[in-house]
Formats: sequence, structure tokens, C-alpha cells
Amino acid sequence: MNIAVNKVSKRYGDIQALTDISFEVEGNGCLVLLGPNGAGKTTLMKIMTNIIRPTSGEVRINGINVREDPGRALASVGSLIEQPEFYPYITGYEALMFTCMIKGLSHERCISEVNRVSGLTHCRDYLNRKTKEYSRGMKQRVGLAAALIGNPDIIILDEPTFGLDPNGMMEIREIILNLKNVKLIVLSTHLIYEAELLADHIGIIDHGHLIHFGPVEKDRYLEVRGRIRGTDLKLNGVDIINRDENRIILRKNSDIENWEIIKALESSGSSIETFDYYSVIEDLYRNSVSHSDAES
Amino acid sequence: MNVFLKRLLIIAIALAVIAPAIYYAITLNNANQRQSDPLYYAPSDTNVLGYVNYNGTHFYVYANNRSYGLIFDTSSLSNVNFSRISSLMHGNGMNGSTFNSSSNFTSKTNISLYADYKDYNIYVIRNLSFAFIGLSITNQTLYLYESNGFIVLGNLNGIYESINATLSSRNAIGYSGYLNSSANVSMAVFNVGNKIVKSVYFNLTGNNLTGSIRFLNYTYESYFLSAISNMKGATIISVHDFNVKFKLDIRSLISAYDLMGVLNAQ
Amino acid sequence: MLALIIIISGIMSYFSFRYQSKINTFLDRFDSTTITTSLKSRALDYIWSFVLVDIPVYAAVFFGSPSISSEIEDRTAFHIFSLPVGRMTILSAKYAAAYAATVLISLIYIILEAIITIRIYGTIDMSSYLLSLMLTLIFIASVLAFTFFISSIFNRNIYAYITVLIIYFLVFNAVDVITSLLYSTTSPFLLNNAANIIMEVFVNINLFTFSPTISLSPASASKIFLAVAVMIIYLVASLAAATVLFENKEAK
Repeated sequence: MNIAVNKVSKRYGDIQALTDISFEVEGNGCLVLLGPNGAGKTTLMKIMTNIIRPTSGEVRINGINVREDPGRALASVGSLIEQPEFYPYITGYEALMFTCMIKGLSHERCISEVNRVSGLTHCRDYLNRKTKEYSRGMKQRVGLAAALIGNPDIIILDEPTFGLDPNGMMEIREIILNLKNVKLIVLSTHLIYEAELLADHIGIIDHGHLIHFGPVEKDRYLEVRGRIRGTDLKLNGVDIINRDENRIILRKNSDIENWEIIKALESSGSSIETFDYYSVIEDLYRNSVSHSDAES
Repeated sequence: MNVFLKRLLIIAIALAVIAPAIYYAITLNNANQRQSDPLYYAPSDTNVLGYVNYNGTHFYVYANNRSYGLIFDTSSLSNVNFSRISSLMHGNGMNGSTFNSSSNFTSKTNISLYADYKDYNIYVIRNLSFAFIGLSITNQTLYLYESNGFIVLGNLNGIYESINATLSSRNAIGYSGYLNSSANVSMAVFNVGNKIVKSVYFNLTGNNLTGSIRFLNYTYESYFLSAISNMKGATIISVHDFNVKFKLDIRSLISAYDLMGVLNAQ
Repeated sequence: MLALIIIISGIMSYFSFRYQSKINTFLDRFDSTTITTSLKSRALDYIWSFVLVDIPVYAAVFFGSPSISSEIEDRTAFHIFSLPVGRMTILSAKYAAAYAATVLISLIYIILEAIITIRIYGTIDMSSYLLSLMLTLIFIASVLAFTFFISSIFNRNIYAYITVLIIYFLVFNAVDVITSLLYSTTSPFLLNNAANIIMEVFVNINLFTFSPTISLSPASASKIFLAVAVMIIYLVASLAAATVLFENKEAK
């Protein structure tokens, strides 16, 4: 499972929507594309799924150029881009069956697949209604079901929790957390906490530029609040990222246990009030987007 | 496949189908156009080619020393409408009551199938008497055939030559520029083969006749110029080498032979 | 569309029975000895075909005009374009479906035409009828391709609908009038003029041009071939253009 984006740019008339985006992600896990509204996340995802064409550059899925051979490239991809819309005069069941059969599965297999994904996304109750009668949330669930149909290796989701109630959001996040162990998921969101929860890799896009891309080492960053003593504080197996009198940000560069770090800090004379994992994503995002704003 | 190549392939395949189709369509259209041109039915070796438009009826005429014919566009006939000719051609004959009262055919006319010539049915009209613009024909036998909405009426040689012209494409379409279809009478006489004139063209609209004659030598040209200048209602428009263009009010002519008589006298 | 065809067919059937005797008036240039039953049945089929010539146009506009533009307007393209199927496959499938629907609609009218003709005159000129049917099928393919081409240009259905109707009924007729005035001839290269062959295979009468033809014989083979060639040109050119445009279509 591999997605390679190589120098992708997209221009709409005078508007440069994306500029030279390049990254590669491989294996199972979840890549979260984070960025403010209008950053270009959805544009990039549309290019990845052949909905729009890049002005320059290419996207390869499992080594196959999406634009030149979309049939093969997207054979192992399920996607949910923007708000899903289906032909209004067919039922949700028919829409899912259509999607399944387009992907080349047999009729019988499709019936069981539709049953499976509709159970997963809890949209079974209204599958026999015409899609024109669906609310936004219903369409979102059926759209997600369509993305999961056929058990694709790669799933591309554009703000999958958009339009869902809080329970729905939690359900979807649970699904993604389960799936990312065996699939490659590319997800876009503008919610930092959602990214924190789901991301194994993070790509921050702002004003059409990819300003940060890399793995997320959530468990490696710690934030300690209290009275931090010792100007020459050194801790083995830990890098100090940031510190002031009342706070210290640490990054583990070894398998050191958290209690060892606490003990070391207390030994240096510091008193600890709180000890928690640090939201590196939020920090990254704030730093990256603010730098990007400053530059622009 | 590369996107650009795919696009090129689609356009190439489309052009491979469209280009010959366009060529074929244009060829067919030109052939159809020719077939709807009355001069398609006149032979190319004709000496006289004319167009007559009188009282709502118009037809073309062609003639040489052995054949002649009249070409009618059936939709333009007013006095004798197509249905009558059709019934003439498909029936065994008829009597005067089958004609309308303004018809110029007499009651003794008999029409029957004469022969099949190169897949065309040729009909013969016996005892035909016909009057038109001062010309009258009495008890003549004429032949006719119909093709693509046109009727060709003439002597037997004229009919054969007309059919051959359509089949061999050696027709008089190229001479259409000599005729003026907005005139009442337009005539072109060429390849005359006598010692006086090479060609004569004239157009008659109402009482005004404009013409052009190409003489073979200055002697006859001077005779003609002298005759014209002495005629009332006649004007020389231009003289260039052997070509004389003139204008004439035909009311100044006592009969159609006046001009010939003056020339002969000269 | 189905309701419309049923209504039109019903009206034509009524008129056929009610005004049977007027066929003779229509053919009044001829003696009764030459007006055969076969000729009268062909004349009736000619009148039915006079209406038939426009039915595929309306059906093609109905089924073909929104074929591509609706995907963009209704945003179903986000789902369809991301499926593992090529754009040409999508286009071909849509075309096939629209063709089938248009043919079905037109066949209702055509079959009723045959039934009414046989009912009234007891006979039908089968060769002319089948030829007219075949030409109708080719014409449907051609005009549908044209609507697909127009649909692939626009992102909104209403623009596609209006443009097809304007081009077919306004622009083509305007060009026809201009070429007739300038060249005293009907241009056979316009699709609406080529479509007239559907009725002229019965009786070669076309009074609605500047160079009218009046002949009770069916149209000649060369005229038929010319009309078919023109339809094929429109079909191939429109489909090629639609394919190229659709390959690059974006759902923004």
C-alpha cells in the first residue's frame, strides 16, 4: 500500500490552489492532512482520486499513475470526498450495490458486502429509501459505507465526521482506529483533536503549500508543569524541547519509562504538578501555520 | 496510456472516419446538385442552348444539326402539370377530356411506351400539335423521358443524346454561364460552323434584347454594324475585335426575320 | 417523455382516421387511376414521419443533455469519478443507456405508425418503412451524440438543454435560410436537413426549403447515402469531442 504525490500543483485561473506538493506514505496507518479552511486539502484529495486533474505533477497509487490509468490505480481505493451525493432516484442500497459491482465484485458478494458496511456505519435502517430523502448525516454514513465497500486497501476520507452527530463522530473515529491497523487511511480534517486521535503521519497544508510532513510520535512528547528547577538539567534518554520556570516539554529518544523521568526531575529539585502527553500536533500546527502566515 | 496520446488517438480515429465521410458526402452532393441542374440533361456537343421563361412556364432547349430537345422541370410547369404527363406516361393513351382546359395538347394526341434505352423508358407522343409563343407544331411525333423530376421532350436523337449525356457526365452544365435565367428568353448559339459568325448570345427581357455576336471576319462584322446602326431602337454597346455587343427593342422588328433579312441584303 | 409520445401518437392516430379522405387532397395532382393504395399508405407514413423527424431530437435532449452536466451539477461526479472505471467507459455506458431510452420512445411512435397505416389501408410499403426505421435509428445515434457533446461543455443542465435546442432549431435553420438565399440550394450538411430523409424515403416531397422537391417517388439512393454520411459525420465528430472533453472534466 503506497501513495506517492510528486510535485503536484493545481491552478484555477489566477488562483494557485496547490504548489509543488510532494510526499510519500507507505504501509498501514493513518495520514492526516491538517489545515485551515481553503488550504487545499480537499483539492489534493480530489487529485488523488481522479476527480480533478493536476496542473502539473502526478499521483501514484501502488506505483500506478492515477491520471493515466485510473481503473487500475483506484481499484484498491475507497474514497469519500466532500459531501457525498448519489443519484437521487435510487435507494441507498442500490447506490451501494452499484458501487460494489463497479469495483468488480459478484452480485452475491456485493450483497454480503453491503450488509457488512451498512452494519459498520449504522445506515442499514434507511437503505431502502431513495437518496434524495436523506439528510446530510445519512448521506455521510452511506458515503462512508461506499468508501469501505469491497474492503479496499487504501481509504481516502475528506472530513468523514462532517455532518454527523457526536455519537456518529465517535463511531466513525472508532472505525478508523480499527481500520488503520490493516489499511492505509488518508484523512483530512481541520480538527486538531481528531488529528491527535487518529494520525500516525501528519501533513500540514496551508495556502496550497505542504508546510510540514512527517510521522507523529505522540507517545514521545511529554509536558510537565510545576516548578522546574535546575538550569543545567540533563536527563538521559530525553531531549528537552522547551522549558521555562513552570513548564518543560520533553521528547523521549529512548525507551525510558515515564516514572524514570518523573524521578529524575524530582531529584533535580523540581516539583511536579501535572505530567501529560504533549499535543505535538497542535504545536506543530500553530507553529507551521503562523510561520506560513508571517511569510505570506 | 499517456493522456496526451489517448487524446491524439481519439482525434485520429475520429478524423479517419470523418474525412472520407466528408469527401463522400461532398461528392454525392455535387452529383445530386448536377442531377438537379436541368443542363445535366443536355448534351455537351450542343450548338444551341436556350432558356425560355414565359407565363410561369420555363424550360431549357438544346439543339444541334441532328437532334433537339426541351427540358422541363416538372415542378415549374403550369399549363401542363406533371400529373397529366405522368398519366400520359403510365396510361395507354387518352382523350382530350383528361387535359385541363388550358392545355395546349390536342385531343388526337397519343402517347405510349416506345423503347427501353439504358434503363430509361422512352415514350412516344404521336400526332402532337402544340402552340407556344408564336411557334406552332402540328401533327408531330416527339419522344420523351423522365428523370429525377425533369422531363425531356424532343426528337429521338435528342432523347438518346440526353440520356447518354446523363450517363457519361458529358453534359452542358459547364455552359450555364452563357444563359441568363432572369431573362424571358436567353439563347446561346456556338460552334456554329458557318463562315459568318462563331457564336451568338442574346437575352430577351420584355421587349429589350441584349446580345453579343462574335464574327469570323471584319467584313461581316461591318455589315452587321451598318445594319444595326440603321435600325430604329437598336444601339451598339461595344465593339472589340470581332465581338459586337448590342441592344435592341424588338418592337422595332416587324418579324423575327427582319434582322436576318437586313443582314442578307447587306 | 413517455406521456408526451403517447399523447402525440394518439393525436396522430386520431387525425389519420378522421382525415383519411384528405390524403387524396394531399395527392390531388393525380388522377384516381394513378393514386394507388400503396401510394396513399406511403403518403400517410410520410405525414407520420413528418412528426417523427423531431421526436428523437426532443427525446435526445431529454435523455442526453443532462448526461454529463448533471453529474457536475448534482455533484454525483465526486462519487462516480473516484470509482475504478475509466471516463470513456462511463461515457459509453451513459450513451448506450440514453440511446436505448430514446429508441424505445421513438419505437412506440413508429410501431403505432405501422399499425395505423395497415389498419386504414390494409397495406404498408415495408421496404420504405424499414428504411425509414433504420434511418431513424441512425439519426437518433447522431443527434444523441450531438447532445452529449453539448452536455460535456457545460456544468449545468439548463445550459445544455437550451443550447441544444437553440442550435438545432434556431442556428441550423438560420444557416439553412442563409445558404438557400445565397446559393439557392438546401444545404444537406445540416443535421436537421439530413433528418428529413426519414420522411423522404416514403415520398420525396420537401416543401419547406428554398429549393423544394416534389416527387411521389421515394428519395433516390444517392440522397439517402448522403443523409447517412452526414449523420455519421455528426455522430463521430460529436462523440470524439465529447470523449475528449469528458476525459478532462473536473468536478470542482
